[in-house]
Amino acid sequence: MNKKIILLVEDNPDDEALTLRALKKNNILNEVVVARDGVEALDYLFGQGSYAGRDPEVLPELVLLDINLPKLNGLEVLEKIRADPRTELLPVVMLTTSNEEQDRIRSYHLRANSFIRKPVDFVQFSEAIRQLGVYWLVLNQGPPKKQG
Amino acid sequence: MTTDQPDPEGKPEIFSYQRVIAGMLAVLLLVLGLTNYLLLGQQRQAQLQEVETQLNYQLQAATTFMIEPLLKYQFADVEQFMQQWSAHHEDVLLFEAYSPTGHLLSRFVRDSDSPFIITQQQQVTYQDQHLLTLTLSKDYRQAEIILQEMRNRLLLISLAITAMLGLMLWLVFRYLAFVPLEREIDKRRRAELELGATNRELDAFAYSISHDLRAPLRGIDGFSQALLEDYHDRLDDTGQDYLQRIRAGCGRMGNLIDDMLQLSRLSRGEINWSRVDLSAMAEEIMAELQKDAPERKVKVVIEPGIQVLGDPVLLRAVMDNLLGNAWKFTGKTVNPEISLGTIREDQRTICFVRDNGAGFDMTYADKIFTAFQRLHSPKEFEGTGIGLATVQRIIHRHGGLIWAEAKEQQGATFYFTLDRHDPKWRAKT
Repeated sequence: MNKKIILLVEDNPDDEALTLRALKKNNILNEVVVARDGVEALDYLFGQGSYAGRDPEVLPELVLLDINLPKLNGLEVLEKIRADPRTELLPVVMLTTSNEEQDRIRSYHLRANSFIRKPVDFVQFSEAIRQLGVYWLVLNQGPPKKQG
Repeated sequence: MTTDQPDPEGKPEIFSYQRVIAGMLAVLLLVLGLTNYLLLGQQRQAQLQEVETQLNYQLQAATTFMIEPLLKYQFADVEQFMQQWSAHHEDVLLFEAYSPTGHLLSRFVRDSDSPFIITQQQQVTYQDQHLLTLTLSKDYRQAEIILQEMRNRLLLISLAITAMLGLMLWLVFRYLAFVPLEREIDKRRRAELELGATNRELDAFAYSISHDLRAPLRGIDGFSQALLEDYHDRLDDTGQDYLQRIRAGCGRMGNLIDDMLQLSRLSRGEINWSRVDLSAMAEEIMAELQKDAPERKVKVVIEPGIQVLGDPVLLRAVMDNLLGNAWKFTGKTVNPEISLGTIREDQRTICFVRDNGAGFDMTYADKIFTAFQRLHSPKEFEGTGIGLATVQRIIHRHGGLIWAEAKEQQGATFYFTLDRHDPKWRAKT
């Protein structure tokens, strides 16, 4: 139960592969759960739909959330995460291609913990993932686990 | 801070029609007044003549009654008749009869404060024999009252006509002046809505470029790097070089997409006018450039206290580009020098950014502000060819002008103004 899970919400299989590769290259060996759209991400977090039966008490240590997603987009997912008492304190890092000011403003309004723009250059991208891993999985003290 | 102000020349003359109507009504009132005056004068003349005729007729009538008793020397009857007749006619104020010798035979006097009194004298004769001299005074107030009523009525009618005509004129002018104006406003509003829609489409387009173009690019770059890392032992130098070229291409395309996005983003939106300290901005930018390339030694001369009016974010993009270019193009220069300064000319301030770097051939001077036009190969100097197009668009949006002077291998100077009321600007566009 002490495993620190990362929930990666990413619809682009290339980006998924690159993110997983960057995590591995940087020796971040935590379990990574990948959700391919917004609905799947919420299903995982709340143990519903395709993830019915999963214990929603077990929350990931970190959510890496893309904005441009099918079905529910990243901002809508973030809104739902913050609206639910079970997940309202969950660390969520927006990891997106977008550099739109509006997306950044909306994300922070919805209480995203961080906003990272994916660089095109893989070396830079890999470095960003490394720093993310070190910061959120090692340095950062997450919210206390709720007593069920 | 102020927002984009509307062009003062574009403001249509909306309210002049009121002055036109007032003028027309004044003329109309003058004409009506004059007509009334003449009409009333004529009427008074006729009325007076009528009064006089009537008086004359009454005197004649009275005389016929008096001839007989007079001829018979029955003066008492004459006296009685005159008194009774006078008493009977309420408008008679004075009725006197004198004998030819000047002897008063009869007098009737009625008190009156009327200012309208008409008097007539009549010699009563019979067969050329002078019998009597009659004087009759009458109050013609009644006629005057009729005249006054008439005047009031005319005045009322005149005012009514004026008011009606005024209303009609106002409606006509409103139609002539307002309807086209409203149509114009409608047209503009529709154009603005269309522009808004176009801008939103552009936003959506820029957004999808940002996302949809960059995502595959990252894939190409990432997997190229993965090949280099994981399969380098199975790739010879040429193969690895190709992958490096692919990655370099990705990097350039990424920059290109970002610059295009910046160009499109900075070209839209409101200008937030405020006072901007260009000197401080330039110091900041130069310090950042120096930090990124600490090994370079560049002489930087910045004129202190250059204050301009403009949008701080947009002007930052201008200075970033101009100083960034100067920094870039002095990269291979011995004793590089970059300066920011101003020139006063014809009551306007011209700012300039000067360097002694690579410069360019003035033959191509008109091309440098066109997007994607580059005068140097990427091998010589990196760049996307969008920076100066962005700069020019921002300067133009501020109502300013930008131009360049350069000589190959001797440097370039970019001049710009930000005065939105510059007459030269209007003349040149």
